Amino acid sequence: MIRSRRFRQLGVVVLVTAFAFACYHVTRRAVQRQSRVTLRFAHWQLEGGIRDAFDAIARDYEVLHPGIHIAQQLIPETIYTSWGTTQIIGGVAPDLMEIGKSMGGPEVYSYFLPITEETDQRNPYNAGTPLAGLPWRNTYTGSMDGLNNTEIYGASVFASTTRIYYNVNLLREITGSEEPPRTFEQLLALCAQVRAHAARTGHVLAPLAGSRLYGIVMMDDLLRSQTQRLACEMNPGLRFPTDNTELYLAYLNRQWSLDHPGIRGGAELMRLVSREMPPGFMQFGREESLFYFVQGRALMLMAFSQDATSILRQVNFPVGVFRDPLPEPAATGFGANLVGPNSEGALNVYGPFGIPRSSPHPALAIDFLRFLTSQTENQKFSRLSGSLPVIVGVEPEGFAKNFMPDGHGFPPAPSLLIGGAGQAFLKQLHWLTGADASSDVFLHALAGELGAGMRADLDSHRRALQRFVALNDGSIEAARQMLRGPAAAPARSRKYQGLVENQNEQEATAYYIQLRLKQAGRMP
Amino acid sequence: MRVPRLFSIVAAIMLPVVFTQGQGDPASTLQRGWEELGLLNAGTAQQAFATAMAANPASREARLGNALAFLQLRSRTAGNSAAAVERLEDLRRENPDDDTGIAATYYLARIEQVHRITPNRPAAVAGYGALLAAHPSLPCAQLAAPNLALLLLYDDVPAPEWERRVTEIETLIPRLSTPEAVRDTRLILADAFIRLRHDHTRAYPLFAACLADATITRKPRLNGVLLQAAESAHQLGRSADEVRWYEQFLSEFPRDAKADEIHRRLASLPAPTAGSTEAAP
Repeated sequence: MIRSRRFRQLGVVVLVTAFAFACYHVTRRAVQRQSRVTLRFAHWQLEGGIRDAFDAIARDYEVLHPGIHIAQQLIPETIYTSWGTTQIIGGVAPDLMEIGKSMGGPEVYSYFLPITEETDQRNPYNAGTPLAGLPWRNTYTGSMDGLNNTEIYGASVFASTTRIYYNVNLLREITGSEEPPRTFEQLLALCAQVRAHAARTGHVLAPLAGSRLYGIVMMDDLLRSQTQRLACEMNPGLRFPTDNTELYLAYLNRQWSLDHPGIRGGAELMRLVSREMPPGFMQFGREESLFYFVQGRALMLMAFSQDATSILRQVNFPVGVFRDPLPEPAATGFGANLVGPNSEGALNVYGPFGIPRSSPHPALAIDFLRFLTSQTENQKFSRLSGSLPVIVGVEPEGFAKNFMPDGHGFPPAPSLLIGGAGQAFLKQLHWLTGADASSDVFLHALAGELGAGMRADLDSHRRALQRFVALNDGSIEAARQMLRGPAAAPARSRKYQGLVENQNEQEATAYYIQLRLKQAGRMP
Repeated sequence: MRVPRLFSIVAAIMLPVVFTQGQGDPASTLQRGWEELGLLNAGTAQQAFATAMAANPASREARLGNALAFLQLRSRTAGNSAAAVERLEDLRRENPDDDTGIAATYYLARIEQVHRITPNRPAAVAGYGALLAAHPSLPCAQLAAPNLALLLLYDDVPAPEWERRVTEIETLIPRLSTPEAVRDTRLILADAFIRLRHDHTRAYPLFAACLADATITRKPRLNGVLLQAAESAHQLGRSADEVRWYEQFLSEFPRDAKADEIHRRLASLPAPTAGSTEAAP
């Protein structure tokens, strides 16, 4: 009887203990879940390698900081502008957002926190590396955010160059060699060989897999090579190509016309390369041209360096890359329009991650940015994503070595295929394709539209500058007021000086545009 | 009985503390207002300035901040400009000669120049001119100098009138003392010489003086000025100066897209001998 009662008591004790243990675990997990902070970051880089690299780095960070979860939000490029604008204006943006794609309009930076002061400090995640003693911003090989503002609004891990990818097997089959073309003439000759091969074998095969984006990039490269001398001639102060503003003002003031040999040469090169892409390529999206290439229906594809991982994952043939060959400087022909061989210049970063003012965790966002852009993690990001490294001392690995920019040569002219002027070009582009393609007809049609496009671009630029300087008056006075007192930090003084300097420079450009547009309006 | 008495004593001690903490001390509230205005948060700044004004109605700085916040609101309306003008005019009327009064006069001219829906150039020019005449040596007043240069030089006037205006700005520069006013007035004049007259002879000394003073703060601006100084020196046949500015450019911007070409240009120039740098212009 006694034994039976003790046995029942033991059973109750076991049950109560088990219940208590279960309660403890369930409660602990719930508390852990509640106390865990989630840091969200959003971007439009959907390339496979980039997504995987971010995931790996996020997991590294979570190991170092167990109470934190990093969540990646992938937003398709096509909706990023509207999505991002809604998020930042609505005050519900994630902790970090890739800045770009005209998101938020001309006032985009007023929605992000400047991180200039933080970039003057060391990056603690570089401890133990040769970069340990450097301010964060000096750990970049070039610009940190690629935005060229007084303040720094973000840190980028993206840098890009363009290359022509080619199917090594197909090249060998067609030419008997694996050697890609090195000059523009050799490229055109190879394209002719591909067309002849396709006709002979009956295969559906284009020399170049074009799309709207890649086609424009390729034509832009060719046009910029041809307008190099023109852009230098229009520079009022330097023997270097001028910028879009000066080039457009000069056009509207009749200092050059579409009869300039550089423009005629550019249009002709655009015609020559258009015929090497599949018919209707301007209607193709980026993915369709990629599909064309990986299916073996095109020998070559002009694409960005960050496309490499996606391409290599999809193809079942060896892939090589080479730099888009452009005409070389010469006394006659296309070469006469160049001052020197086109340089790719410095490594340009884009799409920096900025911290929206509505970020729930700005301090944590800064810390994650520092981690992401430390030397060790940038090496990892570059290796896993196939991207070009942006941090000093990080060397590209494997296939990425093919994409480092070639800084030798002369700077190219600015792009004419952007904004309203670009729309004017693209609207008439159909005159450069098809059996009746003619660069003369193209330029004749363009002449009716280009001036209006340039004027719209300049007006929009001037208005944005004027809005910027008006907003900044308050910031300048705030910076001046904060200089008061004996302990005004040198950083504050530098900030004030920078704001005033930037304000006056931007305002001068706005007045210059206004004056030259007024003078252009009087042209007969 | 003891508990309610103790409670009332504690409450009597704590209530003022809680009240003061809620308000924030006027100086730090004012500071928060400037910080918010610096971050372009005009709405939050206005609240902070209003609190600072309530705590210290005599604070002219808080009233200045409050007025300027109207100019930073996202809706750019005639009503907001008028509200700012009214407050700034009050500040100026009360005391036109202290720092706040001078700042108020400066921003009244800025409103005429950039904040009005239809800018009033002559009113802005008159405002800046009067400010510089009344307070030629005060830093806040000297902010007017680059603005005056912009308005006078980027104007569609006949050549003789433009030259008269150039003389006016050239006369003004030696009277300026703050680094920002000297630097920006020189650079505005130099840029105007290059952009509007392709005149390297008159532009070069201004670029060179700015570089010698080392007052250029932003790297993009320094990039442009070094390049322009080297190129103007080239146009004027001052090859030692050309080498000097190009070498400084390369040490500051070794990975710039123009670096390769600049290396080539330097290689084609005669190597400078010791002491061959031209006299400062």
